[in-house]
Amino acid sequence: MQPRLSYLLLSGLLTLLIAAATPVRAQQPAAPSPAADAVSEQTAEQITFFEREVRPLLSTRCFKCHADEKQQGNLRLDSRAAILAGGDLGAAVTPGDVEESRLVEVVRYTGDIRMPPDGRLNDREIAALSRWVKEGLAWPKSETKDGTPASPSTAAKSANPLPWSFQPVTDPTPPATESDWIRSPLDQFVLQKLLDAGLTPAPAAEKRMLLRRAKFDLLGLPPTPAEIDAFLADDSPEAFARCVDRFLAMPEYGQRWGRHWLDVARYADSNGQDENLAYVNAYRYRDYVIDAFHRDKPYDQFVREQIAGDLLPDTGNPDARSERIIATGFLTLGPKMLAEDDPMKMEMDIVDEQVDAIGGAVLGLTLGCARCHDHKFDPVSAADYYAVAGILKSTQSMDNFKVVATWHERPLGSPAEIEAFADHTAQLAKKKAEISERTEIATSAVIATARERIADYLLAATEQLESSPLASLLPPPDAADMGVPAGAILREAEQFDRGNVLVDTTNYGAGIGIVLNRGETPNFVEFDLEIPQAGAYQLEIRYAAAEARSVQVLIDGKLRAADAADEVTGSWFADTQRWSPVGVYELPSGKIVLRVERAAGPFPHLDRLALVPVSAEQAARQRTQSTEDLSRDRGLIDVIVKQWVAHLGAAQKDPLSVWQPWFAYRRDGKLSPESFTGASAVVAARLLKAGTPADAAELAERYRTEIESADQRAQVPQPANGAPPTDAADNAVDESLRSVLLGKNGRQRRPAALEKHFAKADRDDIDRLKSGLTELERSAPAPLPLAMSVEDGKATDLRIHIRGSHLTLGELAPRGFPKALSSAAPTLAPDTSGRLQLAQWITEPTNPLTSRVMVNRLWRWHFGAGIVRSTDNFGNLGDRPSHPELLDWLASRFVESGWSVKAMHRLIMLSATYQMGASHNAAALEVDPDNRVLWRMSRRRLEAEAVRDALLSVGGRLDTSMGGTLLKSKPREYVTGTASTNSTSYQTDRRSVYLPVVRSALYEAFQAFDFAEPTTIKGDRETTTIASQALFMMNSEVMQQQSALLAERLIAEFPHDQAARVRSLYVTTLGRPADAAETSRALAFVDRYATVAQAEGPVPEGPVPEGSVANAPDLKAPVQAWQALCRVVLSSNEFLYVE
Amino acid sequence: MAHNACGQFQSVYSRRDLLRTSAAGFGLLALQGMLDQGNRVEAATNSAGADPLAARAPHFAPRAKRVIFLFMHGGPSQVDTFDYKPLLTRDHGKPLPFDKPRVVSSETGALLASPWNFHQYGQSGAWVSDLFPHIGSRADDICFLHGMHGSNSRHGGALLELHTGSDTFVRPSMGSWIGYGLGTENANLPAFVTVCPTLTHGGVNNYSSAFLPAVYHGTPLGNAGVPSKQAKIPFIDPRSPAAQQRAELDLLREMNVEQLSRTGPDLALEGRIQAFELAYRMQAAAPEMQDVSDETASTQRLYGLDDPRTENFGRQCLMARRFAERGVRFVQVTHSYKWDQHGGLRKDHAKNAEEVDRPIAGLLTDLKARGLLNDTLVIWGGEFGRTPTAQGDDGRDHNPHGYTMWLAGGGVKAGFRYGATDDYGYYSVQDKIHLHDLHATILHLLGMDHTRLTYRHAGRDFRLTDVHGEVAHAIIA
Repeated sequence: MQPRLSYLLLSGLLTLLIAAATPVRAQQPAAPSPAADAVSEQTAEQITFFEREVRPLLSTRCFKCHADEKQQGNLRLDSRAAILAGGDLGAAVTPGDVEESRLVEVVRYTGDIRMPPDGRLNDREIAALSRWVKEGLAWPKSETKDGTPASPSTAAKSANPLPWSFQPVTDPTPPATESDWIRSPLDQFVLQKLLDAGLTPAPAAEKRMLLRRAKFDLLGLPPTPAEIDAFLADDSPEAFARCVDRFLAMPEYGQRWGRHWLDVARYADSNGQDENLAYVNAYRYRDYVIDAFHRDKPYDQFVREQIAGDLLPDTGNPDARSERIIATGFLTLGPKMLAEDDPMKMEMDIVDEQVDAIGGAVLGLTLGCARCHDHKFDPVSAADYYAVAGILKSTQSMDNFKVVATWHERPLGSPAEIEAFADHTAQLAKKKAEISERTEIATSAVIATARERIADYLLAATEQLESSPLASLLPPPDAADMGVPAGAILREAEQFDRGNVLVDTTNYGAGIGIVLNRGETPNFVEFDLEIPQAGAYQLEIRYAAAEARSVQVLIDGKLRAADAADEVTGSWFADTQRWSPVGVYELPSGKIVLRVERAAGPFPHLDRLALVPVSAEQAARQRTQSTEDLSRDRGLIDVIVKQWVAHLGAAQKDPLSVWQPWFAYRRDGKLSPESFTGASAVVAARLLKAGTPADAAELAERYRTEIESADQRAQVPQPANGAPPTDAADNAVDESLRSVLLGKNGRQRRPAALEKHFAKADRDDIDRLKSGLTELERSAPAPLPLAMSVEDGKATDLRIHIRGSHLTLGELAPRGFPKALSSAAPTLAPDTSGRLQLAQWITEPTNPLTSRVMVNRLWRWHFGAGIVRSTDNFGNLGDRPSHPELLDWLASRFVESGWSVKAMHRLIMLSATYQMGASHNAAALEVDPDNRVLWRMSRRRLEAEAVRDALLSVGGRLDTSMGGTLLKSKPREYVTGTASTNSTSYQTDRRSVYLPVVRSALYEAFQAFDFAEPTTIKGDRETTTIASQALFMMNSEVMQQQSALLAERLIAEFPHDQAARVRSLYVTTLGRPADAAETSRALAFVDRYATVAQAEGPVPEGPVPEGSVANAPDLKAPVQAWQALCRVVLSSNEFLYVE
Repeated sequence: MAHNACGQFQSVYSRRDLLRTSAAGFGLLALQGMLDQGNRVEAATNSAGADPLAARAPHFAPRAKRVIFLFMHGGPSQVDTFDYKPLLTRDHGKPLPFDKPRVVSSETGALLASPWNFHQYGQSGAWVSDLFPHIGSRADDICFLHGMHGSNSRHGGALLELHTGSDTFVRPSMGSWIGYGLGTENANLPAFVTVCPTLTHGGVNNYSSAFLPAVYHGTPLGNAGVPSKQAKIPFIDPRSPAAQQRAELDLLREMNVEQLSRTGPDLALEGRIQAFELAYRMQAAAPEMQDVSDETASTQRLYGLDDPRTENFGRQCLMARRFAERGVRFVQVTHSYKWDQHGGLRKDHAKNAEEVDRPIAGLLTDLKARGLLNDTLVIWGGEFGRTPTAQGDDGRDHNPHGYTMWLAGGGVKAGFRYGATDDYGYYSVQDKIHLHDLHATILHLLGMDHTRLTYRHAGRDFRLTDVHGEVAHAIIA
């Protein structure tokens, strides 16, 4: 590299840096004079700059030779004093004077001494060093000579000056610059800056370019050939103004600019983060935003509605009321963790996200930084943060904080409708409560009756336990069907006669055919079976299940098994399919109906059913009676018998159980107390107090008595006089005995499905109540649409959370606004959140941030860069405005216009500044490569939505209709499941703004083109250039389809004039006709391509839209060639960029 | 310029112009060099506009040049795999003798002994359960971190914490940070590739660049719902035969260069010309990368490609080696959401282990045999561990408070055990490593100071480790 060149460049950079730095210093209370040597005057900003940019540089590139270890040339660079003291060659730096500082000279690599010797610093690093020197060599005051940095917080806290943006907005007079170029006072500000920098504005854009720019800018779409012709034909001075007005009036404007705000509002259709659930009602907020821009809703009102729409005074208009409720979706639709075991953390994280959203979107403040400690760089304290957080904490955004929590939604409609709906909901709840109360009484009655028959239950359950478990009579999974016993009736599950399930033969049922849930639960299937001969049959079911899903089996309407197929086989796939015996039943000859159902939900994966005839002997050996049958025969309740079976089954494994004497008696027919220890010995003694029992029935009866008295003792913990057992061991035995009656919670066990055992009177009562419920449900008013929104909750002030943790609380921070911005604390009624007051305070015309932040956003979206480049951060760490007076002037006009965004568009677009061309200017580029002073219009790439919309538009299929949702999910349904599939479809002709925004699984094309990350406030999208964008252009479905459609249109329109096709292609896509060279090159390309395509035969081009001529075989090669040409032009930089 | 049918690139700039442009930032020199050689990108300058993926020097001499992260989604149990706890076996069925954490994901009961036996392996004598005999046989290459702990007890939060350092905000993934810090060594492939990533529990956020430039976004191959054999980079399938697509790209380049000569130097426009060339090469390189048919039969066997149980994950591991070999900085392979045994521990942990044991051991063996293990850091682990206490009678709950991850190669001590949990394996108690510390250590091994790898966003400098992170120097060889 030629040194001279780099020097030129460097000085250019420096000029720029200094120019940019000037307003900063002018705004700060204690600006150091350039030559000042006093560290005391340095600002926090300078210290920060030093810590971030300079110290790391010194430490990595200089300290090796100029610090502790070595002091080459007797120079140390590890403290301010050492640098000033210098080395062999004198002082290394003259603070404030870049050109006189040897340190800067040597790093520039222009003289004899070039440092560091192992390679030149890059330009940014050199600029950083220069700025540091220029600004007086800032170094933390508290630092000792050895170079240990003071903690940044201490360093910063010493100053934390008011950021420039906290100063009141002024209404500056435009500089008195005179020039023919000027069309608006706005231009005077810009021109003055240009002249100061020794630059001039670029020539005006030519008309085609201006029209393309304006239309993409306002509508996000390319101009049509007709629009271009009309605009070129209109010579009047108002031509462009008319054009702007026409665009502003179109609904597509709302779609385009609404989307800009949605970037800032971190809009999405799912919560993202962890359990990713569909926000099916979020779209109402999106439509509200689009509508607000379309109708030019005053910005202050727009902001008030989003923060506190629900609290604004009622206008009596139900539509306005709905709109305002929808607007508060802004607070609710942020990203949130819905699965967080710590509910307090979840709540505070959600509040934090809301504080951050309001701060960043509207005020350009990173309030969230003060969650853990006072803001390190801005005058926002933790107390300020918790004052605002208290307002949100007093606002209800969530219905609960359970794992997979529920966000709040509100019904939309007239007050009467809402009241009617609420009334009805209350009635429903009341009716349901009545039913459950009545059911409870009936249940208690059944349980009380069962309690009297404890001995019978004990006997029945014991017999069930003792009978041998059923063994399958059918061949194991991998054997052939040859092992099936003769006479067995086999039926494939998928050959059901009635049912609501899905047959699968390719996935879970590959090779065998199974049935599984179709979506309608509970699942059921029925089979009509012909029994050739009456007799005993063993029923078996072949199935696979990865989780327990027991089914009920009914034969001819009678329940025969309540929990068949209840084991986990290992997977849902065919490889774990296995036979499971259900029971042995006496069946009559002739037709039976066998029904399998699952009351609670979806089926295990059923493959086959079998009825295997068993001999009387076999039947006797195996269990002949199901629990259901046995219970019915003995007048017992099956679910309670099962409960006993489970209880005794577990007790068998415990050698000390109170039931061991019972098992021993069943086994041996006698009871010897000495063979027991522990609890079982205690029980044996009690049971034998009345002598040896005559038979099992008598022993069972004695157990009943023991259980009852144990239970009575437990009900009365301290018996009146001398009642037995009070010692611990006896108490434990009592607990153990009565535990068969109790559920896990220690209360009376209440098995489900007792209804059929209710007394008739009870049943009738309940049936009556239930039909009343059905009646009520039938008369339900139509469900009201819901909107994600908030309402005031319980008003609370928060304590400061030390280090951001809700576990360490500090002082109380009463609800209010950041102190540096508000002179007085609001007076809040005790039962209000303060949200309305917050919204009003934010939208006061005197609030220095609200208007500045928004006009800067508008500027950013017109020019590609804001006057303040950090659009979402107006604090001390944000960028300084390049044109501070212009920013204030615009903010003043904004408020003056009644906060009209469309007025701002006109103001900006009709200026000479906006209408400049994008032409290259080598000198200007050298001085100001980033175009900070606006010497030309910056060239900008289309945003993700504009890319897709423009492709659809030139393909002729774009659907620009307004509103509604394309999200297919059910409310609160997972959008990305654990099966890791994202079912969202992006195949639509609607504008991109209406495509679902699924957090954590964004549409790939959007991801590739720098779509706004929907979890953060994004006023300034990046423009990256990455390979996946190119892959999208080369291979995506969208590109295939739109280029095919465009090619077809060209061919249809100009069947015989190929040159006209090229001309039309260029005008449609690039807004200009192709020149002669371009035309002939394009035609040569098409020819060659068609020849190759013809020779190579059919090309696998992927799906072509229906009815496309591209499907006609004889046309294929030429159409493909034109399609290829379209693809090239649509991929070109000229199409993708707007000048 | 002359229209050139065969698309031979002709510079519209004189050498002098090129120099001037490079001085302003990016430079056509690099562009032309790349177009000519079609391979390694030489960083033109170190200044702001340089190719963001060009290989960059780290802060200091690195021990590892690349990372392979074997992610076991769901949370494998430490006490059933690598953290041997004899007292847990002894006290099976007894209550935990100390308090459980304030926040838990589910209620758990008494202590549950591991159903598996442990044996000592290798010179180092590391205890490994019967779940991982093959990995056990590589114990002398492994550095076990028994004192891992995190903060979040739910999958979503824990996945994000592991991958991005934050369970509260969307932050760049560690792979993105590493790409940002070091660039890529292969101009035909992205710096960060993730094979069959999960779409749930944070989904894309686990490999997203968040506010870092999109070029550092993890490039996914398929997702967890797709067999690794079918996993592809989005839009990578060419729609037309190569010659025809090449003809299109040649015309496109001609148009773009022509436009560039009209507009004057513009980094973005130049970058886009380059991006198409990179895409074209990536389109050729990526499927070749994924096609493992040129591997020898014994290599394929080593990774378990001969067995349907290990084929899917084995292929992921083999692809990881191929990516690593070709200079991709960070490769993640995900054994998807399988390790979450609240119940069915015996059966399902055994099945999961069987799917990954041979492939992982094969990967270590293969990397070592090829001399790649020295400078490739292999990381194994889940988003958290599991409780030593029982959920039901055959399950364990989530436990972020103490669990094991392991590292191998890339400058860590081999055959080394670091950190410990309590007697039962519930809490990390000694030489604790928080996820932030793990991140700091990974960056350190790659030659980067985690406090200096920063990115300015929304007015603040962000780090992978936020304000936390201590490098675990004790594990570095």
